[in-house]
Amino acid sequence: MATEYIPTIGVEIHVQLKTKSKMFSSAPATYGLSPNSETMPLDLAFPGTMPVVNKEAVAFAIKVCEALHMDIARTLRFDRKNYFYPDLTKGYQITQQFDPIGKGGEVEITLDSGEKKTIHVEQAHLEEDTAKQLHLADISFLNYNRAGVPLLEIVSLPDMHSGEEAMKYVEAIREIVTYLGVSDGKMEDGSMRCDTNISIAPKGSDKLGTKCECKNLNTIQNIRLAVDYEVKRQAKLLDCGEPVIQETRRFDEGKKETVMMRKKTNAIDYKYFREPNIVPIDLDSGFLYDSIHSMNKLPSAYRKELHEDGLNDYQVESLLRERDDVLYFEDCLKLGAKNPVTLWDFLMVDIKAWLNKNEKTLSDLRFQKENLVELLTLLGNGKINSKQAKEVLSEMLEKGSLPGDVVKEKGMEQISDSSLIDALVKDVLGKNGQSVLDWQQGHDHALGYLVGQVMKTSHGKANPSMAKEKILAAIGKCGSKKN
Amino acid sequence: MTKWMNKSIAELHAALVKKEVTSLELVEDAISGVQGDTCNSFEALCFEEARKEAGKITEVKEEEYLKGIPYVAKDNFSTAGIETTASSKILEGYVPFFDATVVSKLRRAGMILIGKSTMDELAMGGTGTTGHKGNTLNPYNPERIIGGSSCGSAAAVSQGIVPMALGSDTGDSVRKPASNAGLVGFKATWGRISRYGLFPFAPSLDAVGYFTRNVLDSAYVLSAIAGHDKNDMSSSSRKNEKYQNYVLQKKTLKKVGYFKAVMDSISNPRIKKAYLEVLDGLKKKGYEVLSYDYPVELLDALYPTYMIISCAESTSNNANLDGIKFGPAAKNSPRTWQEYMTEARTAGFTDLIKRRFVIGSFSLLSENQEEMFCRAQKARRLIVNELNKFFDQIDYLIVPAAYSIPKKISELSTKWSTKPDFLDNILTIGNFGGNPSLTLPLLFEEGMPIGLNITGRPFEDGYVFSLASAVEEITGLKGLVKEEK
Amino acid sequence: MIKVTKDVIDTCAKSLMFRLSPGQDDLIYEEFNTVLAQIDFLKSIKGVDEADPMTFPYSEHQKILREDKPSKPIDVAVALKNSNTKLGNNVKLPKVVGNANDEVDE
Repeated sequence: MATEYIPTIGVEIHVQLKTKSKMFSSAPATYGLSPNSETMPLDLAFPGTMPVVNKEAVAFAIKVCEALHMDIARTLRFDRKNYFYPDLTKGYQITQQFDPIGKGGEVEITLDSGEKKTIHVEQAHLEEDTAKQLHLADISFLNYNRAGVPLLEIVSLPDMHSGEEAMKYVEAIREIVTYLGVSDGKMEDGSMRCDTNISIAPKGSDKLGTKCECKNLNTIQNIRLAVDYEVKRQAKLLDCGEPVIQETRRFDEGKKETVMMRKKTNAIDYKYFREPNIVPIDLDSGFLYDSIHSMNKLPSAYRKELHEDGLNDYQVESLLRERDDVLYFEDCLKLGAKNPVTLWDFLMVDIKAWLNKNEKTLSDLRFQKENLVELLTLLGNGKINSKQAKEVLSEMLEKGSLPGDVVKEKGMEQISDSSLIDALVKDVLGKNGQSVLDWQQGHDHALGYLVGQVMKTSHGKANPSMAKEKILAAIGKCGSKKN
Repeated sequence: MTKWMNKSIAELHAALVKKEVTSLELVEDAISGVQGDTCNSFEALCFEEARKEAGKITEVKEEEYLKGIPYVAKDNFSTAGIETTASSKILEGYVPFFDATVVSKLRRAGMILIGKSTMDELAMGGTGTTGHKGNTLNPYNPERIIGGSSCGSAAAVSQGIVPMALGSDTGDSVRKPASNAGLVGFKATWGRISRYGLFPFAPSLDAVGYFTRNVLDSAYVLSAIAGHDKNDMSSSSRKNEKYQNYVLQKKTLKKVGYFKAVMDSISNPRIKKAYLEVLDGLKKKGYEVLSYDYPVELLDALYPTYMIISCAESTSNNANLDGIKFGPAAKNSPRTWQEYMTEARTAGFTDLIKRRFVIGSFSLLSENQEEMFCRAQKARRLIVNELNKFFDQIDYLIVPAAYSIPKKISELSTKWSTKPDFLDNILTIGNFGGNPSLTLPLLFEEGMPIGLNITGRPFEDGYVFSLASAVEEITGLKGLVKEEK
Repeated sequence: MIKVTKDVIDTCAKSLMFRLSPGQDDLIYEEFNTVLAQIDFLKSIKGVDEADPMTFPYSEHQKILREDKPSKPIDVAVALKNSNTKLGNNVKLPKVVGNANDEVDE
């Protein structure tokens, strides 16, 4: 019988904080401009320059730690991680090895099966980013713009046991940091970076297996693929009686495989010791309070509210993918939109489709949220039907027209007068006796045809639900006259 | 021979106010002094800039104590537009584009920088003989050391070339050369003066210090350069003071103490006599003089504790010196980044520095750190706790700054000392506790100056000046200059 | 603790990115004897291992953090003026292969 292995996975995430200036220097943190144009003396490690801690980076870190339910340090201490590399100008990185700003947190993930799981976070600490290198044929260029940008490193406990769990965990962290507004959280551009540690052990074993590190994961999906591949690879080795060798691997996107980067033989000794140029900083309780109470609403809070509004899981999750979308949605509700499900439909299907096609974003919309709410109200009151509403929306998107104006121009006012509908129904039923019989014989498609005929006769203006009601009242249940 | 530069800051200031002399004349005087230097005291010079600055000064007001007066800065202070090398090959050609905060403050106070002074390489030495320009000599006897690491600054002031020179003090690097050169050498409380722009040696011990030829001058200088700096996160937010008032108004504390172990170990009878005479003189002035039993084993711990902590921190601080962003480029066509850095650092550091770095680095390795670096930090805790117990009962610690005349250059060794004498290392105690500490002349022995050291509680810099002033009155030794005749 | 050998000394030097001059490793080996003896002495001091390691000379903490206002960055020409290994606005090195954690090549 094949051995069953239990994978154990830990994840380290580096989140780039989008402060205006760097972690320890006041240079602008908006790198990406021309090389070496966004530096201050500390970033090039000129002798005698000294680190000064960025208040906003600390505030951002506090928010993330609070969102992860961590114990937040009341006194900040920093340490040096010493090693040589061209992108590390001082020859050491200032980090928090001994006293991370956050300890002992957790985040809930929801698996595809619907099962909820809690992943524990060991610690979160502040540190600084390195310079960027550009490698040419036989030289490398150093660009110090990125050197010193604030990073928050979040380290999980080895709580995950599958590629799916690891991926969901990273998604949950990404959600939190983007919703808090502290990071762009994009793996593709490096504003969020992931390293995973993966080991497997036979089921029932109380010892963990040898772990391999997997780096260079550029998308969230690749996390799942890489972990799953790695687990399989290690299982194959063990099944053949071969040991898993501790090494660092990278994910090859083309082959969808993990590939060895280097063997982890002698790990570098970083000689960590306390940074003597930064006297311990007592965090003011007012500052802590303000940081925590100015936090943006988190996805978990939105989820609860949106489910209460009547949206299903799929609708909730797709809405939460971009914070701008859920904010827009929330604002429309606040402005009086009465039917959240319909609002979702209009926003996430029709408006999104148009935005994607025209490569625009919500901020480019030519109409105000109030106008969309107006449109939804017209639909909700039965003044127009949904087909008409979509037509109006199309005009709003293309030209920015006001919904009231479009309805008037196109004479779209829906017929909801009961006696008028009665007349139309009577007319249609009279002319379509066979369909009525079909319905009564049990063919359920006939109803749709009859409603369609009422719509056609009324040039699309009849209130379709009223028409359907009246038709059913007249012809009875489907299959009532079945032999 | 200078006409003016052998005078005190106070005298020069008075002359400037009364328009008896112009700043430009003072600068020219200093320049001729520099050109007559016999001790190898100088690195890069900035005569033209100094003349320009001095030329702009038309009047000096009564309260502008330092305005128009020339000074020199140790070559580990960043000075914009002026080469700064820390007397090491690895920084030859490095020209900072910003001033150290201390240099900016002195500039704002109107003091005129005329050049940089030699030092022990990267501040890691106490002899004045390890800088890239060779030995800096003691004007009192060129065969003997002036000490270090602030050797050039001490030599410049004691030759009467300038009345003030900046230095830095990590283990005694201002206060020991001050003793060897008959000067007032002051190390402020850790965090009292900004270290921004000062090349770091061991930041948990480093302090800005400086030389003058009398105590009152020293107090005026502190008033100009002390204060919080937003660029230095180790600088104190405590309010700055007018330190000269402690001297002028004789604001002093009353209890003076000495270590019994030190007193009992002084072998030179003349030094002991002079020391006791000062203590007696203080008694006559109304001070209480007390003996304190500071444990000998903690005194013996001073040297290893200092060496391990400073070498370890220094190794890390100098990891930025790789020939990439500044400093001479690597030679021998390196093919990899490792080769590049290795070439630059091999050529740039001397053997002594490399030895210190290896030992410092070894003590930080994770397998060794608990035994070596952390233990030294624990020993530091015991040393400072005991010092604080002393200061719970007594206001000042007075010890001789040296116990014999400066060594001969020919008899020097830079090896890690096998039998360190705690007397030679007593001044490090003021670095461990971040205390304000001042050396001033005590006596002459075989024609060589020997100093006395006063240490106070952190942030009681003013009280240290007032006691020092009282000692000055007792010894009568101030304004000492050793000029070439 | 790691036992001190010439190899260990050479590895330390290598990890510090410099070569020792001939004979210096002997000298350092000798110095280590002194250093380790002095460490043993520190070990013998009463109360030393129970004490808290001390980094800062006194225990005054601070409360001031830097406001997140970016300064005008330094001009690239000024930033790179002191570099003697550059090309245009970039600092240049022989091609950097591998990552920070790579072993220094034998």
